[in-house]
Amino acid sequence: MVTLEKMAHLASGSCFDSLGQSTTNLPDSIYLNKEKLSALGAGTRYDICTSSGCSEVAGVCHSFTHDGRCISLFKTLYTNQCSHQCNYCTNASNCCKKAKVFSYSPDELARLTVSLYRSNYIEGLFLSSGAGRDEDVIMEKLIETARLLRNKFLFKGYIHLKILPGASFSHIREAMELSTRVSINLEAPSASHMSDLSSTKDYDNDILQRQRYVKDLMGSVGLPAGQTTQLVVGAGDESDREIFKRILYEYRELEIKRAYYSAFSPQGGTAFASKEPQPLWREHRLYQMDWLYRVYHFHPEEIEHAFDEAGNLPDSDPKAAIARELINGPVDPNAADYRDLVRVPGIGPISAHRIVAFRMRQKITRKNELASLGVIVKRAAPYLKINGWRDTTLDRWSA
Amino acid sequence: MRIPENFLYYLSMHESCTEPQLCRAEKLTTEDVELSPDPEAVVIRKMVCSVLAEIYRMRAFVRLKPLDDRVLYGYLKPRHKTGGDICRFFARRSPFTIIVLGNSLESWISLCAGGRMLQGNSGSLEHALEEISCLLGRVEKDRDLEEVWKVYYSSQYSPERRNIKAFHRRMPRDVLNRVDLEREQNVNGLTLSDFFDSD
Repeated sequence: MVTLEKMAHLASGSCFDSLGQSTTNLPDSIYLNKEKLSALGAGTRYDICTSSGCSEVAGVCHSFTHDGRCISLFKTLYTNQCSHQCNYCTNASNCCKKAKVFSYSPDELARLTVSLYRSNYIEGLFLSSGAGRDEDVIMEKLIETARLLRNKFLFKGYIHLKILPGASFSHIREAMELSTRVSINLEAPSASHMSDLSSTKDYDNDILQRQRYVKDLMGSVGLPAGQTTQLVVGAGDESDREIFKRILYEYRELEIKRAYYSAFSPQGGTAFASKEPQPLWREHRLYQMDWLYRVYHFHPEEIEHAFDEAGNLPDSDPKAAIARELINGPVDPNAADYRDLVRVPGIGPISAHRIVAFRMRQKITRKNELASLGVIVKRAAPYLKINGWRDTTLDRWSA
Repeated sequence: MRIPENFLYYLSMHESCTEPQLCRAEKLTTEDVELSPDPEAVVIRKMVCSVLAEIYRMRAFVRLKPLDDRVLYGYLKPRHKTGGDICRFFARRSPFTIIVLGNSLESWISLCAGGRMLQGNSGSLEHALEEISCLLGRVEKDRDLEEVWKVYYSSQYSPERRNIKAFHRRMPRDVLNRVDLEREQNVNGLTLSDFFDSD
């Protein structure tokens, strides 16, 4: 225990030691221009991100929106001016209900981020942007913001930078050197679907080629939380199978850390304003499919069983659909290996590992033992045989 | 596995942890606590998880206000004895800044400087802040970020995705009260009462 006097003395004597330039003075423009703060914040409402993938500075949800989504990052556009013609986006140049144009300056944005971080509202910055009049200029501004944060304010928090479509190799390198994670939005699963969504983006050159740049630079530059991507689900009338195939390519060939899915929601003034919104459950089922591949390590051929004839996921648990097709007999939790356990509905990777560890100590004889290990017994029971006893037969269960 | 190797450290912070219980827990391994169906191990597991959950949520939801540019302070009234641990976490996050957390009864003070963690206690939060203000001499209060945050928070609201049950599950009222966070959610013309009444 030390005296307060000593702490006050040390704190006073160490100005600029670690924090870089004094950071708490926010420019008046932030307080005065709330319209800008709101408009540029709202511009990222459909961008989904988490501060995941890097254990040192990530993973804390500082608040939740009224839809239950985590707010861990200060998610904002640098500018809402954009030269692209994307039929789903309110910032697009072909949107007839144009919002007032706003932009931050790199210094203003860096100070605001540090102030919010110090006050523990956020874990870091998610910085996206419209393309402005010139993509290269805006990309430089995004990089300049990150550079100020890292070099001037010695910011140690999470930075997720969006790579604008068509960004140069050197800009991508600079962005990666300063960021925790970068991402390039795919928006659609193929070039043909992209042409339905936007007349100005070249799918192969502006997007896939830039993702390859990131992958190629990963070895030399390093990027703690890797690259991610995002798709607008349902804007281009694509099927879930098409999305799945594209995502498989992204995970295998481009080594993305994860994909995000955002159900299409029509926005007033855009070319797609009268298009039907996509149900949120579609987004949810795609995340479940993604989870089965990425976390549960299901083989793509197994996941194929979850799609219907039209190539879409029905509004039901894909893992249960796969289990109905592929689990031929009851699984004995005392004998099955990890791979078989994790394929049973109600058993996830953590509970499967616990079952394996538990049965090395003692035999599982009761359902409540499984419950204490984290198994959702109600869902798992039809597939299990515990101590020679079965809850119900699979035939009865699926009838 | 969710139980950390140093689970005794967290167990000792539980509001109802006793010395005899701590002694018995010393004989258990991490795996015992994680997996054993023994009633005592189950109780210890629940106690450790309760402390871990409180630390996680308080680290997320405590809001810090600047008092001068070398001091950050915030309201905290934890259920368990986690105040010191949470205060040290913020001190590591903002080196060379005095962190003061507390309530009307007790407060915790930490400073991470030159690789050393200095810590102390005081009476109420108000008392601690008065003491520090006197010692620092000049205290120029910075502007509160609350208004800026409210504008930003509102901008993230998507009406078509409204899901109050998920919000309620992830931001329990008890936790919000412990960090005095109720005001933050009073945006978009809604109050917390709206959410709780609607469930």
